[in-house]
Formats: sequence, C-alpha cells, structure tokens
Amino acid sequence: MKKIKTFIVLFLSVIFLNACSTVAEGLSGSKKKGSEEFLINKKPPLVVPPNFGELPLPKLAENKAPADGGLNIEEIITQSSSVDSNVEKKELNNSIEESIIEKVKKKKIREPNLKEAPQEVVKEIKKKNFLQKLKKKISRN
Amino acid sequence: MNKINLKNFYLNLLIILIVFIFDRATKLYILKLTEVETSVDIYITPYLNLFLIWNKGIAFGLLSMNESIIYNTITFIIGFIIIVILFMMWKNNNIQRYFLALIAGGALGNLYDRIVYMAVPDFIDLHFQEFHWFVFNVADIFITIGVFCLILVELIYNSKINEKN
Repeated sequence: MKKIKTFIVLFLSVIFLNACSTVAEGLSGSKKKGSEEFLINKKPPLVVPPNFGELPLPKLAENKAPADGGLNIEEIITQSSSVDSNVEKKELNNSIEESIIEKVKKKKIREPNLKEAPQEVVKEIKKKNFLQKLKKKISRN
Repeated sequence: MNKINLKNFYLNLLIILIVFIFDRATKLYILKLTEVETSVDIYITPYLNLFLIWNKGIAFGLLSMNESIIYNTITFIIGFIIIVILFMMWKNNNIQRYFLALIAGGALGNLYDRIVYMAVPDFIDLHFQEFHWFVFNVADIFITIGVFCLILVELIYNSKINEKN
C-alpha cells in the first residue's frame, strides 16, 4: 500500500514538474513569439488640446479682400469659371451663326470691295483680270 | 554526523547547481537562436529536431491556458513541491537524495522560466518518421531520470531491505 502511495506521489510530481508539450501545440501557433509584429495599439479618442482657446484665429477676411489692391485668387478663379461657362453657352447657341459669319468674312477677303478701293488699284486689278481672260481664250484656241 | 550531513548537503547542492546551469545554458542557446531567426526548427538527425515551443501549462501541455489565475496556481503548486523535495533530500541519507537532487535541479530550472518568461521553452523533438514524442527540455530529462531511479530504488532496494528484516 505504501508503494502505491509513493508511486502516485511520484507520478503527480512528474506531471507537475515536467514541462513537455505536444508538437501540435507548437504548430497551432500557440507558441510565444519574441516580436510583437501583430500587436494592435488602440488609438486614444480625439480630445481638444488644453491651449486650444489661446491659439490665434485664422485671417480669412483679409485673404478675401486684400488691402494692397493685389489680385484676389478666389475671385479670379470664380470669374474665369463663370466667363468660361457663359462663353460655352454662347458658343453652343450661336455656333451655326458664327460659322456662317466666318464663311462670309472669308469670301469678302477673297473678293476685295472695288468700290471702296482707290482708282489706281482698281485699274491694275482690271488689267490683271483682262489679261487673265485673254490668256484663257488663247489657251482655249 | 554533522560533517556527513554537511558533505551531503554540499554534494546535493552541487548536483542541483550543475543540473540548473546545464538546463539554463541549453535554453539560453535556443533563445539566442530565436533572436537570429523568427522560429527555431533545426534538423539534427532523422530522429531528432530542435523545435521551440512555449509551454504555459504542466506536463504534456496540460492546463496550458491564458488565464493568469490558473498559471499562478500551478506555479505556486510547483514551488511547494520543490520545497517538499528539498526537505526530503535534506532528511534522507540514502542514495535517494541524489535522485531527489536531480529532480529538484530540473524543477528549479523550469520554475525559473515560468517566473521570468511566463512559459517554459521546450525544444527537443524526438520523432520516428511522422510520430513525434512530446517536445521537452533538458530539465525534463533530469526530472524523468530522477523519478525513474526513485521508482527503481523503491522497487528493488527497499524490497530487499524489507526481505532482510
């Protein structure tokens, strides 16, 4: 009976003093890791800083209307954008008209107004036209 | 009588220290390897690997949980058992005291890891093909040898004494 007791005591001491573990435990990822590469630090909630009231106010009014009379970038951008939009609208509406006007202007440039031109220039043009017509007739014959 | 006791005491202390230092040296070597590589898995022979596992529980990976209450309770029990073994070693004058010293040395090695690292590093992986034995450390070897020898002494040596009586 004494022997059994001693064996039980020895068996229990082996279980408690030994520190062997299964391979599966190691493969399952329960082993302790040296580095904390997957550690997630929780960020603290946003808090107003203690000296927030002492900070100077941003100078937005001065930026909008410069005292030196310099160019205001915001206005230029808004104006340019508004002008561009107006131009686009006009172009869309009058595209046909403009195209016709341009064609008319081109024709006017090609055919000079002989009434408003000086007499010497008119004579020279008439001579050139007469000579060209003669050449055409001679070439036909 | 006192001289004999002191001699025994120093001899037992020496055994405990040798076991403890040897165990610590092997563990420190393995832990240094982990500083170089993220995981230790070294092939030595077809039957032996070095594979580092951290055990928070007791033998065979039992009671390995993340709850600190269970962990502290186990550590306290182990500490109590070690004190009992040291007391038995001090009282015993037979050959058994040397085996008790082996057990005490190994147990102290594991207790040190439990306190410092909060887990015991096991790294000796004996296996035959795909059949792996439990991964253990040097301290476990000495504890097992000590307990095995104590059982043998109980079976052979003490039974002979009883027969003579």
